[in-house]
Amino acid sequence: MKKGTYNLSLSFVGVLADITWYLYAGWCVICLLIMLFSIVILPKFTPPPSVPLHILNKAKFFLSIINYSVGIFILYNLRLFFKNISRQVYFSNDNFKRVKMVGFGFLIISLFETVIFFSLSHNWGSLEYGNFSIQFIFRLKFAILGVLVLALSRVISSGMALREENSLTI
Amino acid sequence: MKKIFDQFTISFLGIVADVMFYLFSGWLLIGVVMILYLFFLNFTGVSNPPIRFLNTGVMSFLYASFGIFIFYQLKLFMKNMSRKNYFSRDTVLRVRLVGFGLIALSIAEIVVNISYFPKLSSLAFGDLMRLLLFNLKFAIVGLIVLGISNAFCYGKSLQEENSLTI
Repeated sequence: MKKGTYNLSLSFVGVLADITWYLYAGWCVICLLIMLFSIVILPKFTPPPSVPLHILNKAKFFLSIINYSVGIFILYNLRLFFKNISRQVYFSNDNFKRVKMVGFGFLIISLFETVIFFSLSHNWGSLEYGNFSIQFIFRLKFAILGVLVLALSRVISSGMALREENSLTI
Repeated sequence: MKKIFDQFTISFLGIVADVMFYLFSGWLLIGVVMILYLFFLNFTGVSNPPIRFLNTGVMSFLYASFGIFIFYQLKLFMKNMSRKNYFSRDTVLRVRLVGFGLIALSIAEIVVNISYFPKLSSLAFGDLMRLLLFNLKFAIVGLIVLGISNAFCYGKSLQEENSLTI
């Protein structure tokens, strides 16, 4: 029963990694196509309402491209990490690299989320202190996740050292 | 530099777990006060007690008690990590308890949400599927944590093997 639960969790992790990867990649492609349509094709048929909005759309587009590409980068590495975990390969150099990349990816996403939010959603003048701090805390969730994943990478490197030591002593 | 960064990440996460633990404790207290206030109103014979108080109280109680449990385990896990006690029996136990806690939270959430429906027969198939889909997020995270706990378990066996070979 106990072993069954852990085996189930292992196979679940592998399947989930695949499903999330395909869903996210598909969603990113759809979002980028919609943005491309609204920025490149739509203004040819309808005149742009005002210059600042046009510029805002372009800025949003480029920031979103960066955000989505970091998201794809994170999910690709997570997918490979979880695939390794489901194959019961826990402490390998590849896993260590993947986890580190995911951790730094989360930190970058947190930074970009903050930049996108503060540069596009609000007037600086209308931003009150309370609102500012609440929004900042909400944007920190990815940073905390990133730090947690980086701590996990420390565990993996320690496991790698143990495994190497173990393989040397026969 | 790398050592300082590692130390920083572990102590930062320890502080986050501590803060979250105390926040959830406060939340539990608020939930208990709300439920007690409603019982007090019931006893004093108020004809129309505010039912939203009960809903908020029950949900606060549920989330806060699971939150306290999970963050307490995380707190102890971080303490082990700061002592560089990565692959001990205690660490594996903490990680597994976090995983099972998340799965239990998900099940409790589904049960509470279903109990809000006036009649079980009025629960359409679509409602049930929506409830399951939206409330399964914690169960998914729990299963992932259980998957990662296998890595800790493997590390523990490696360490035991290592300490046996002289």
